[in-house]
Order: sequence, then structure tokens, then C-alpha cells
Amino acid sequence: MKTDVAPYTLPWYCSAVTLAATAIVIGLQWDISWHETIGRDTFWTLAHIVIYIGGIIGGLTGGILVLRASFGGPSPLRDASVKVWGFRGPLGAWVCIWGAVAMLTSAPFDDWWHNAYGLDVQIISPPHMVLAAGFFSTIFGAMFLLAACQNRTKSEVVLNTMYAYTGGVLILMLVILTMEYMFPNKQHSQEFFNVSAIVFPFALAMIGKSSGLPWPATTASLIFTIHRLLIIWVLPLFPGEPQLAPIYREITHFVAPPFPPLLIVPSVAIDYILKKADLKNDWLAAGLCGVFFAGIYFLVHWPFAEFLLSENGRNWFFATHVNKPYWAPIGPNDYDFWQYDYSPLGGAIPLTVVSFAGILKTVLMAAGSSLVGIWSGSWLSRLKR
Amino acid sequence: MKWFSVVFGIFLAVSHLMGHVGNLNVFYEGTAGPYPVRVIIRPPGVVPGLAEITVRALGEGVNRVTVQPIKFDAGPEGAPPPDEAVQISDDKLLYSSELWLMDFGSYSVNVHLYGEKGHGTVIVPVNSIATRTLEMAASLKAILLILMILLVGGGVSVIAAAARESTFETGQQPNNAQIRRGRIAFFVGAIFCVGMLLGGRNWWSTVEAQYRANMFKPLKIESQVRLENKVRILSVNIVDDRWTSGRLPPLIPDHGKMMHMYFIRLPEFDGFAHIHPKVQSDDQFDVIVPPLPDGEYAIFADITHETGFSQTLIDTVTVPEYHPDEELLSASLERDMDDSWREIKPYSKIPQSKDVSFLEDGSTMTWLNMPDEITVDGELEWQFRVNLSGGSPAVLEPYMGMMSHCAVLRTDGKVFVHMHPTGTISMASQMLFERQAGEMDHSMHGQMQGNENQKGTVTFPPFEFSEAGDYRIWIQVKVGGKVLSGYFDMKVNPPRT
Repeated sequence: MKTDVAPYTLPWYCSAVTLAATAIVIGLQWDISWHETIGRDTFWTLAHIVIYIGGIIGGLTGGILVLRASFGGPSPLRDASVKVWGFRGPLGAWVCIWGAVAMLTSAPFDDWWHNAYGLDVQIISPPHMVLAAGFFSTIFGAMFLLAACQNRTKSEVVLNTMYAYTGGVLILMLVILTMEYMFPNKQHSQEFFNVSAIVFPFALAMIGKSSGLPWPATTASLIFTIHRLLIIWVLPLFPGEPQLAPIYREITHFVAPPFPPLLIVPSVAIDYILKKADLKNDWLAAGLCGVFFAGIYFLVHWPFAEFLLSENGRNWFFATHVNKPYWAPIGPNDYDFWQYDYSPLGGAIPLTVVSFAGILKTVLMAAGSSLVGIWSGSWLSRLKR
Repeated sequence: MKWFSVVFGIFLAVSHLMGHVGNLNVFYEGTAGPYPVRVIIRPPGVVPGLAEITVRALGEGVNRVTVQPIKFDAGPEGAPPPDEAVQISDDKLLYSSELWLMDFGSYSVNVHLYGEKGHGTVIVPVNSIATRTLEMAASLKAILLILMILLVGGGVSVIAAAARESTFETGQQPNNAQIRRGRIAFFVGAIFCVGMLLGGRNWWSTVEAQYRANMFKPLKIESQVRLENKVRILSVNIVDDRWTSGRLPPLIPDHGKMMHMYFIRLPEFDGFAHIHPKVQSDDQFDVIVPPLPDGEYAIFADITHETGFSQTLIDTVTVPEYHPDEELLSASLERDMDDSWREIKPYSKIPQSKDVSFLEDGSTMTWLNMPDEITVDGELEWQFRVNLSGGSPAVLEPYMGMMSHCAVLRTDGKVFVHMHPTGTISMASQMLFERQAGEMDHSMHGQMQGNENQKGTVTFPPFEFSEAGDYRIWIQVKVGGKVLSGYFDMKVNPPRT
């Protein structure tokens, strides 16, 4: 028997916030490449504008949703909203607004910081973290809005897929944040495995636990990987020349970011643990996720880093020959594993050699990160507003 | 007045400024090919930072100016394309630009002039160092505080709402337990935010401490005077770890000397010498103390590294009594032929703003363009004329390649500048950069001043005082083979508001 079901209409704000999250990560990667290639920028570079557009779309979308839910009279939107300071709006809308305010706050703070301590001496600085909080909020806001819609409709593949997509964007944002550890030259250091174990299992477990797709973490990882690969392949097609001294290496085209970490492989294990095995004990699930993530990640990345640093990595696909900025002196260690983390303030901080005890700690970190991810994912799977 | 020496000494011990101590702006006047030109570089005081470049063509015919930063270790091939300098006013001869100095160390700014007579280039060295600390303005503090309260207040409210009702089905209202859960989340969120803020504050303090530790400090020296067969020998030892561990590049001579030292008696500045310690070992420089009275002396010693980086080493030293037969006694060291000195009136007994200085041989040095008032940031072009005792203009001879040497000292020791008619740059540094660029461009040339000046006048490029206070300047010229030292005192007022 055929039943007539009205086709699902995707709410406009789901598309808007997904676009906002996408604009932020694209603009951010473009901007980082700009700084590595050209160096000099203004407030109005295209990369900056793309980021601003992301923040503005996120903030405006949140603002419109709050205004409609608060003053638009009875509506499904109002019914699916939470109350903050007397106003009503979906949780994701509030988070997007918060993100826009954080991004706005970071601008004068960062400007003062540059004047006080020099221009972007370190990527990870307090004003940049306020900005990053704004970026993450926009992405989380998008995820919350999509999760709430997904949870209210359950079976809409388009929403499930868009939610997994924003999960991919979240992973990409985490990779951007930890970029300084992601160079293949550092992938035999304990720091690389520890940083990876702290940030990635959280995101993968959260997505795995909260998406309606059968293989959500794997899907999100795949989307992240495709996103990153496109950036790696597209940026070096455009000409660019350094405009600041000193220039230590000849650069003629935009610098590519490092090759994406191979998260797809441990994602399959995490999806299996969280979706297929469907363990009821979160602690046990987190422990298994930690063991499998750390183990698989280590086994995959150890040889893969060697591959990336070999001649085989120096081509358009892996782009390890075009991923160093103009200010990094050409040395004999361009394709070696680094023993030191050269800090911008002149110190050479030794990187820790990987040990068995170190990897055990990595497993614990991955398990802890997974547990937070599982709990977050459980809450997200129940989010309705 | 011992206290003054102590205060002066404490300043020298803790100074984070460099020498040109307390005034990092670079003033240069010379020629770029066929064009006479004046260049002022105002470094940002932070690294990376934006330096202001002002170029004044000192004649007609220039229609385009470009500027280009070059870091010594990257060389011309590691330089970006030149930036166009723009005319910033109706003054057709005045050009301005801004350049990023991205790294710590020795840079040059290559100024290219184009016009009717073709193309000319001049190279002006500049140190890229962190010297500045910046307080946050009250208005910015207020704005950031309001935004912070908004973010924290809004953030914890959103967390509370999420905990209270975000998982409700549509239309469901929170019960008491859920409201309580929201309140608990609010407080947990508040504690989290306060923790984040405290962590952020600690992080900020760490960055501030790292920045301050990384601010430029001149190499630490220890100075002492020993008696060798009754001859007073001043030894300057570089005891700084950065130098003794070999992390810094070696020194190169400037005007043929490895070290140019101004040696000034405290507290009244009544003994003044321009001397040139000789290298005794990697760390030690010795010089015979000039026949000046015993007492405390301030040391300002200019050195240039082989990367073109120049700095002024600072210290104080106690000098024992002068032995009248010193000149007849022998020591292991000889005076440098270009050493000069003068015993002069104590600072406190000199009338202010006197525009004539009597020189050692009875001739006079007149400050020709002494203004009624000198203020911070105002341009001051110094011009002096030396007249023989009979009144006729003296014939000035080059003294170590320069028509004149000028030392500027604020009476508390916080500002010291050594300059020449070509400006404040290290000539050795300029020649080093010129040599480096020589393979690419042969249009530059050095600015050594080899000819006599028959008119008895010397002019220095416009100087900007960066800090108010009482200053003494010493002007040295060479007449009839003898170095003469004039001096003037001046009060520099704060900028007019």
C-alpha cells in the first residue's frame, strides 16, 4: 500500500549554519596558507572575508532564530527552544551567537596583542584562543541545530549526513588547531600521538554516538579527509610570492597544509565499538575506543610518516614538498624526523622519543577523550531543542 | 654626589635599552646614486612589527621611491619585492612607507630612488629587536571587560539552559528537579569559566615574562682599571653567556676600530673621552685611561657584529688618581692615535642653552640654529660652525672618516646616541650590507667623508628626541690635526599637546 508522506523540507537555518561552519574552516586554512606564502595581510584579505562571512552567517542565523522564537508568537521553533535571559531560541542558535561575540571580542584583543608582543609570534595565544572559541562555537552551534533537527525527525538521511558533515568540519578544525604537531616530521614523537589521542577520540566518539548514520565517525573522517585533500590540491594551484623578509625558501605558489592524519582507519574501529557492538557500559566502550584508537593510529602512522617523508610524498597528492612556509629555513632536516620543536621565541624544545610507557599513556589519554566524547554524544543524541 | 653615580650605575645595570641607548630611531643622510637623501627609520620595538620609513629627497628630480627590507642572514635573494613609498603630503620631496621586520636580528632597509637622473640606492642598517612594553589603554580595558562579562555571563546561561531543557520534547516545561539541574550547571559552568579565566591570566603572565626575557639586553660587561707601571689601564671584559658561549657572531671594525668608547666622568660630566680599546682576547678589550681626574666614569662602548648587528655596551668604572708622569711611563699598551679627551666644566656650573662652546685651543664652536624650545618628537637639525680664535672659519679635517662625531647623553644616562653627519647608523654595518648587495647592484657606495671642509661647519641630520629631560651633547671636530670637543646643554620638553 502506498502512503503519501510530505517530503521533508530542510530548515533554512540548517543550511545556513553548515555554510557558516564551512566558511570558517575554508577561510582559516586559506588564511594560514596566506601567512605561510605571502606573509603580509590586511583586514580585508579574501581569506579573512571568508572567515568573517562564516562568523556573520552563524551570528545572524542565531540572532534571527532567537528573535523569531522570542517575538514571533507560537510556532514549532518556539516550542523547540530554550530560555536564556528571558529570550527563547534553539540551543545551537545561542551557541552561534556566543561564537560571533567571541570572534568580535578577539579582534581588538588580538590587535593589542600584536602591538604588545609582536605579530603572531605564536599561533596558540590567548586572543587566538578566544577567536578559536568563536570558531568552535559556530561549528558546535551548527552541530547542535542539526542534531536537534535530526533527533526530532530521526530518519532523514539528509540531516544525518549534514550532521556527519559538520562533524567532519569539527575534526578539520581540531586538525587546524593542532597543526603545529601534524607535520610528518613530528609524527614519530610522543607529542604527536598524545595530542592526537587527546583531541580526536573525543570528536570521533561524540559523532559516533550521536549520528543516525550507520558508520558516522568513519563518514565524518572521510568528509574531513576529502575536505583537507581538496585544500591541499587546490591551494598550490594559485601563484603566490612572499612579501616579507626574511625569505628562506623559494615559494611561487600557495603553501599546502600538512597531509591529513589517517583518522579513517581508527574511526572504523570506533564506529564498530559504539554502533555495532553497542556496549552499554560507557567506561568499557571508552576503554576499548582508547586502546583501538591509540593502537591503530600508532601502527598506521608510524610507517605512513616514513612514507610521507620519502620521495614518494613529494608530489601533488601528498604535497610534502610544498608544505613549509617561506620563513622556515631550508635545512638538511626537511625530510627528517625532527628531534626538536623550534619555538618562535628562539628555544629548541626537545621532542619526546616514543616509548612503550609513553604509548600506554597515549592509550589512557585516548580512553579519557573517548569517554568525554561518548558522554557528549549521548547527550547530543537526546538533544531536541 | 656619590648617590648620582650609584643611581646612574643602577640604571646601567638594569637597562634593557640599547645604544643607541633609549632612542632606537635611525637617522641617515647621504646620497643614493645621484640623489642626496635623508632617511628616518622608526623601528616598532616589537618583533615582528611594523617599522615606519620616511624618505626625504634633498633635491628635485625624484619621482619614485621604493623601500625593501633585507635580513642579513637571508641576503638580497631572501628579500621580498620593494614596496612603493607614497607622498604623504603636498611636500613633493617627502615619501613614507611601512615595512614589516619579521625576525630578530640585523636588517637593512634598501631605499631606491628613481627620477630624471636615473636610479640610485642607499642602504640603511637597522636592528630588529624587542625593546618596548605596552600597557593596555583604559578604554580598551573597559571594552574587553564588558565583552568578557557578556561572554562569561552568556556562556554559563546557555550551559544552564542546555542542562535544564535542551533534551525536552516540544512543548515540555521543566519541573523543579530540572530547574535545579540547570542551576547546578550554571554554577559548574561559572566555576569552569572562572578557571578558564584564571588559566588564561596565568598564560598571559607567562607570555609577558617570556617576552620580557626576550627583550634586548646589551651584552653584559665588567670593567676595571688596573695600574701597570703606574699607567691606568681600563679593561672591558664581555662576560655575557651569549658571547662567551660563542652563540653570537664575532665583531668587525667600524672606522677601523673594534670598539668605540665614550668615557664620561660622573656625576658632572666634567671629564669626557672618545677612546678605542684594543682587542686583547676574545672577551677582553684594553685601553689606556686618558689623563682625566680620578672618580666614577660611565662607559658607552659601540661594537658591530659581523652580521651587521650593532650595540652599545654600558657600564660604570672607578678610576684611580692620575699620575702626572703617566705619559712618560711605559706600559704594554699604546694609546690609539685617534683617542681624544677633554676635561671640562661640571655640568651643574654651565648656564643652560648656551649656544657657544669654547674649545681647548681658544677657538669657538657656535650652535647656529639653536631653537628657542626643543620638544620631544620635533625634528632638530644641528648645525655648528667652528671659528679659530681670530674669528675666521676653521678648516675641518676628517676625524676617523667623519667630519664630526656627536654624543648625545641624557643626564640620567637613560638616553645615549652616537651619531655622525651621516646619521646614527653603524658605518661598518652599512658597508657590510653594501658588500652583500654588491653582487646584485653596484650603484651604492659608502658615505665616508674624506675631504676637508673649508667653511668650518658641520650639520647633522634632523634628530628626534624620544624622551624629555636635560641633555648634554658633545661635538668633536678635527682642526690642524688636533681633535677638539665642544659641548652644549639643552632641555628637551615633553611634546606640545
